[in-house]
Amino acid sequence: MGLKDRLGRLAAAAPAPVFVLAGRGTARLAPALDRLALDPRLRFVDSPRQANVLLLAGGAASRLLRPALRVHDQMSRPRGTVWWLPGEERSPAALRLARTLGLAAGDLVDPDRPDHADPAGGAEAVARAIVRRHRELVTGVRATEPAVLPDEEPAPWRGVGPFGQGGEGMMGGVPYGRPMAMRGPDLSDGLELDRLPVRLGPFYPPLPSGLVLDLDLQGDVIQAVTVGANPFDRPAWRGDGDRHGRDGDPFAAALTRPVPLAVLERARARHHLRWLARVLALLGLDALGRRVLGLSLACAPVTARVADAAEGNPADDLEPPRRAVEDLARRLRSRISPITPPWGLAGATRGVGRIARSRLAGLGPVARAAGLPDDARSDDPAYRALGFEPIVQRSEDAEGGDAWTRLLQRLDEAVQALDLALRAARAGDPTVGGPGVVGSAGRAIEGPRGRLIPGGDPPSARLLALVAELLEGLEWGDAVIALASLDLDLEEAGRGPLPGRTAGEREPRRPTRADRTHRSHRTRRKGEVA
Amino acid sequence: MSGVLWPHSIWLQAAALAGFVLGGIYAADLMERLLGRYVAGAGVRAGALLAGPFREAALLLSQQRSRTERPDAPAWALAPMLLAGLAAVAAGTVPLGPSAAVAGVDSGIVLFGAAMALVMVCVFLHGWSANSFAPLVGGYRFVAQALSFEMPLALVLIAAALPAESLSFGEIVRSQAGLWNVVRQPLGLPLYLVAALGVTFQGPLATPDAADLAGGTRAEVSGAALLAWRLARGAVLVAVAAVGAATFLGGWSGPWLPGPAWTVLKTLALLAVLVASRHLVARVRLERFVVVAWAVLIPLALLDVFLTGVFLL
Amino acid sequence: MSPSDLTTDLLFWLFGAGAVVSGYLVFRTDSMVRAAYWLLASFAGTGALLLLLHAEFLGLVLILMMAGEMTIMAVFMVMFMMNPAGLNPMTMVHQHKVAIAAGVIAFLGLGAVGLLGEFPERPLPETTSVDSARITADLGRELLGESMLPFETAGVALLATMIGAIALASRKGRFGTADAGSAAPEPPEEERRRREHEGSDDGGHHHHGHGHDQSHEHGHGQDHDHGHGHEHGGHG
Repeated sequence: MGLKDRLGRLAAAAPAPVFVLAGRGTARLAPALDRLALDPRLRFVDSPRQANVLLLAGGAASRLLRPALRVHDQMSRPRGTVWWLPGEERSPAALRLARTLGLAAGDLVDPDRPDHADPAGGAEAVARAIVRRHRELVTGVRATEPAVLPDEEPAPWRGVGPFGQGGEGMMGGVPYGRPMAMRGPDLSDGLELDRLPVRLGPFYPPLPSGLVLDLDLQGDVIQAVTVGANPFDRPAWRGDGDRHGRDGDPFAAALTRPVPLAVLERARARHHLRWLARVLALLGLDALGRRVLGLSLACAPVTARVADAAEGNPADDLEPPRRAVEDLARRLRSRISPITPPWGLAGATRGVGRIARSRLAGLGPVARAAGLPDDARSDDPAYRALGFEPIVQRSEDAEGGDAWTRLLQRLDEAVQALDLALRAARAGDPTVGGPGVVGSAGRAIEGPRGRLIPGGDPPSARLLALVAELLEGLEWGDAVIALASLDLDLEEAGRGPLPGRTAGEREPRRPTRADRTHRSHRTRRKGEVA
Repeated sequence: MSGVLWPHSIWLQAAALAGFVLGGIYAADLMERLLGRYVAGAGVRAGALLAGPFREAALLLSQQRSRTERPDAPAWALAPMLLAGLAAVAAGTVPLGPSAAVAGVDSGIVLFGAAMALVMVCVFLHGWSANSFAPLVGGYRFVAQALSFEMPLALVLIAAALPAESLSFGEIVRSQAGLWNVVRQPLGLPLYLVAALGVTFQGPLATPDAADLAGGTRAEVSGAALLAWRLARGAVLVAVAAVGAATFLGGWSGPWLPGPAWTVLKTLALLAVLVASRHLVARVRLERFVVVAWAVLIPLALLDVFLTGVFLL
Repeated sequence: MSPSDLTTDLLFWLFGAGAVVSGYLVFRTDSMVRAAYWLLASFAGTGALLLLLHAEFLGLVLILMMAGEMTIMAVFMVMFMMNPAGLNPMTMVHQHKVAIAAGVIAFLGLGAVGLLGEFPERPLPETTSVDSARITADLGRELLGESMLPFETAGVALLATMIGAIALASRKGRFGTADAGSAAPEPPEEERRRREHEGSDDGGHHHHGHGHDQSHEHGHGQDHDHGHGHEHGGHG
């Protein structure tokens, strides 16, 4: 029909709606993902129902498979999938999954192929694959992908219970498959109100990727929360601390070999700006968030490997983003002349997500936003030579910082990081870290989330432990902002202890294949710096 | 001159009104995109910008509607249609030209208020009937928000009705022949705009469809149903802007151009303000803002009524 | 009959029957929210009848008020009742015989009043168009003239009730924050420690600080194993 054709062609010209699922190894793909987010041919949506194309970025962790398939089936037809799968993740299981989903050869994009090794890290190839898939779906050239999981009810209810609809007697139970919200005492005053049990899975967009929460909600107030198991937790990798560095984390790489200071500080600025873009999008200011995302891409060189970044880049390209970020920081915190947008950020975040200061030791910007001058860079001679002073937010009351001070803190640190990178380039490009330097004389690396101690837990794991008590009693909007202000990365938390060793320890035995199959529990090494 | 441009047949009037509303929806979408691109620092390609809304509409039409487990299907389907109907009613009360509005009742303000009150019912049904977490929370949020903003909205309109000694929008516009209400009731237009943002869940008060709920009441909606919802929302926004233009900016009065042209221009101006707030103001914390609505906005609206009464006596 | 009379009669029967039917459906539906909105539909029908009687203001105000009230009722029922959507067969109706008897008696009584009572006959004057603005103005004069005392008293009483309810429900009450519940207010930890260290004695003066003593003894008495729980979205 002519009308259908014309509608199809119009729809094909629209930006492709994409829903992104972050799998394993997205730390390397992050810069390219940001580039895709800014691409005018694509539109990242916040609900799978409104997406045409599902972008699987990274490898498949076993505990993410079923949720990913569930999200895939929740997409409305016509639906297609594009999988951005690094070469090392192409296990037989992953390829089997690709076949189950019905992916063609063009839908499996490898970021490590030589012809994709452009500065955008394969982003262009993925964008083209997505746009092509979108056009094929909308114009009907290729059929929609069928549902993968069987259409079964969330919980068995037929015939269950005395009335056959899944209830327990006259009330409760799982009528028609959904848990009935029973009454329970409210947190604040004990009034018997409804409590709805909800599980928000690993790919819920407002939550950090991979976080599973089992909530009891009354209205939109969280009455009880349990944090689910980390799906990125892979027992076989515990003990193989170098995983951190291989996944493109320059800070963890600095624990085992020297890394230029400029590279670290550029990565830190990029990280904080990326975080800010996400928070702005959560607060409804997604246009400003895109601008900040563009700034973050301008901060750091877009490479997939830390090794390439060690060559360093001329620092002249840092001056414009540094000025832009400084201007943004000034606009956000100006109390005297609130005439320039954006408005309302302080009101939306002040007082949200307070944590007692005593719990925040070594947790990077979260601690410094609470007034603790806890920064590993103060002990490093390379930083001291550049005139480094830790930035701390003054807090007015005895409780810890809140989401607003954490936002200001990260913004200030981004400005400071760009400043340090500029100074380092002019001061002869000093390096930081290395196996001998770190650990002795009490020095550690300051990552963007907290202090990285060799052999210790990554800061995300420590932050994850704070989530349950942080969220209890919070309204939903506040809960999302509070979680976002912690800057969790469940993949980092699941990688296990950091590489390197403290002074005096032997070289750890590399895990062998036998270890991987028999290891059933963590061996915890105390990451105490001497 | 208005007789030439304002047809007497009711069907042609209705068609003109529909054109006004649809044009307003398109213009509002364009303005939002334009400002969004400017704030994001991205380039603007004229062709893509102008064709953008149509392409998205075609995209939504090509998607299929999604289903959830045991929704309240009649209510879920009713919500966008009822919202569109309410927008039509609200837009119908606005006099586009001096001769009459399509539904120029003598209690125009009350009809508009009743339509806005029923918007709350629509959004709550849209959220609750999906039988899913995010839409339900979005529906709850909007109930709290809409209840808090109904009273400032009504009070501000009543204050505008006092000088006109009538509840009809036509009389209110005529009463501004000497001086627009935005000047002689300075509290009126800002309060009206804030209440309008609240009732039409736009910008900083876009809580039911928020990003922190993965889309809120529209999280489970796709395809033609989503297109209907977005069109209905746009229509309500245009109606609210048109009422604001009639009540505070003098409606059709103005030199040189014919009456309906002035109405269109003023409506577009208010639409620009309402739509721009999305990219410039962060979304509020609803629990705190409800307190602001009850404790600050209602007293201010009462003050507005009081001052207007004092100046009239 | 003239066309407008016919139209009026048709609309009357349409809205009247609609109000009765939706009123009946309030009691037949299992879902609480649907019941609330059927009641809203019934009130909307009554409001439309008032519009037909040219009482524009009253009809529209009725619809305006009922929209908010029915939504509040729906939300409260979802909050407090145990079977709001009617998915379980729990019936909320008890004492069937007494209820039926009471209903029949009330219907007979009200029906007798409606059929046999003497209602005042005050038809509108025969004019070509009805001036609803004058009717509204008459209503306003009545409200602020002869009936001022009952309406103003009711209005002020309602306003005081609303303000009182908001004051009770707001966070910072006179005796501490709402989160602290009805526990006795106690000074924050650090203030108490500071007073111990400095030895300053406030004479037992209670500080109404943040009594965030969250000792939840509530316990989760209902620990249903809800199976798969609810993932984002609908069925798999």
